[in-house]
Amino acid sequence: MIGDHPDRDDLVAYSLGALDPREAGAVEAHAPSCARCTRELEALAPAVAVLGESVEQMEPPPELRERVLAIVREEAEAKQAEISGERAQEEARMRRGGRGWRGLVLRPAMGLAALAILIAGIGGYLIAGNGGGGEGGAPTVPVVAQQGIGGTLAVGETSSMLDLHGLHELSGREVYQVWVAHGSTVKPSSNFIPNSSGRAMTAVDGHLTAGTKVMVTKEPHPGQTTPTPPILLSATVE
Amino acid sequence: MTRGEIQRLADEDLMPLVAREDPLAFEVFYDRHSGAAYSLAYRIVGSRTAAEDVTQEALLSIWRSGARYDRARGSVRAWTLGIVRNRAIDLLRKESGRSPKLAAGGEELLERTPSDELTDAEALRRETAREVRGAIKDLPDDQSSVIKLAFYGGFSHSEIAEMLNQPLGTVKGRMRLGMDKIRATMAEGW
Repeated sequence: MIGDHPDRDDLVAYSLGALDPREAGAVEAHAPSCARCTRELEALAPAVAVLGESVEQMEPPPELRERVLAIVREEAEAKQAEISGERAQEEARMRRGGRGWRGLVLRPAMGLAALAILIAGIGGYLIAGNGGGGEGGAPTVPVVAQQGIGGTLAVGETSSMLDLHGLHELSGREVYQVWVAHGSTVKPSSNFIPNSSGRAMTAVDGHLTAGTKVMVTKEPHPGQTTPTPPILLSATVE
Repeated sequence: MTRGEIQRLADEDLMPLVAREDPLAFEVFYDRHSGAAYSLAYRIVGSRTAAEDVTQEALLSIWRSGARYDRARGSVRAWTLGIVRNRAIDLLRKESGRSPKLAAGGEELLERTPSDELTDAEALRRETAREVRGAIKDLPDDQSSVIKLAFYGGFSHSEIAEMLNQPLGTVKGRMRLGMDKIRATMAEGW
């Protein structure tokens, strides 16, 4: 604990934003490591919140809504374009360099032998993606994704492979969780953490029969037994 | 996730979507909280134009900062209004050099009210706000004044003491007594 306890009057003044900066700094240095002061500040918080809500309520002008939401949409689209650009660059790099198993699938002539080994290893995959079109002539199962996330699901006989991009950074104990739904059952499969570029590959164990849906959610911690909305990506095996 | 599904989410479940820069989630967030944000901004800055600027800046800062909301620190509404209040007080200080123009005793600031016609959309929330206002009005004047000058005016306790020509200890004591009464009233079951 840092410093002496502020007196209660000072905690009240602090919660109202009424302490001078030096005094406020002293409270901020002390309170986080002091259970008593933290409790008192937490107890004051709802009463302070009430002050914010107790003013006469007004309708903001519609132009404000239009203006703010236009900025938000524009910034979201710019971010999306940035992600798409990075993805296109990555795919171009993969095509040029032929690195990685996706590169092999995209370049069947050059990577035929390696692809044969890969297929043997994982039991023969069916490529599913949300990029449109059947890559390399393989049948395509649509992947439905949102929030800038995309990827492919390669369906094998004994295990399948999700290759995802555009994933957001996680915080704390958060993980991305894969779920497998068939009929009325939804079971957790693997979980994973993306790399710093927002990419991840993860295996989905077991044979996925027709009608099985593979989904991905973000969960607050590993070990969840039911998915937490929203479903970030889903693919139904045909 | 569809608009309807997002609209059914509780605030605490909506914010992670806003943090992931989902514009539809932000739109739902805006529709829920912009009225309260604008009202508080107006109450503090006293002009519609400035209130619009404050509301826009505060809500966009939430969007751009990835909505760093922590549910352990209170409701989304309280967190949002805290950001709005800070922006509004900053504007007041910037425009006035330090503090808002205030008549003796701060009556202009204390009594400022809007004249907008109310719509039905937030009728329930506004009714609640009215009840809360009533409870604050029930405080003795000397207690409600110091609380309002601090919270809506952005004045420090020492500035309030000087303004009201009262000892600092008296001002602090009145703040504490007033806040204790508001807490007690809330505990009785709003």
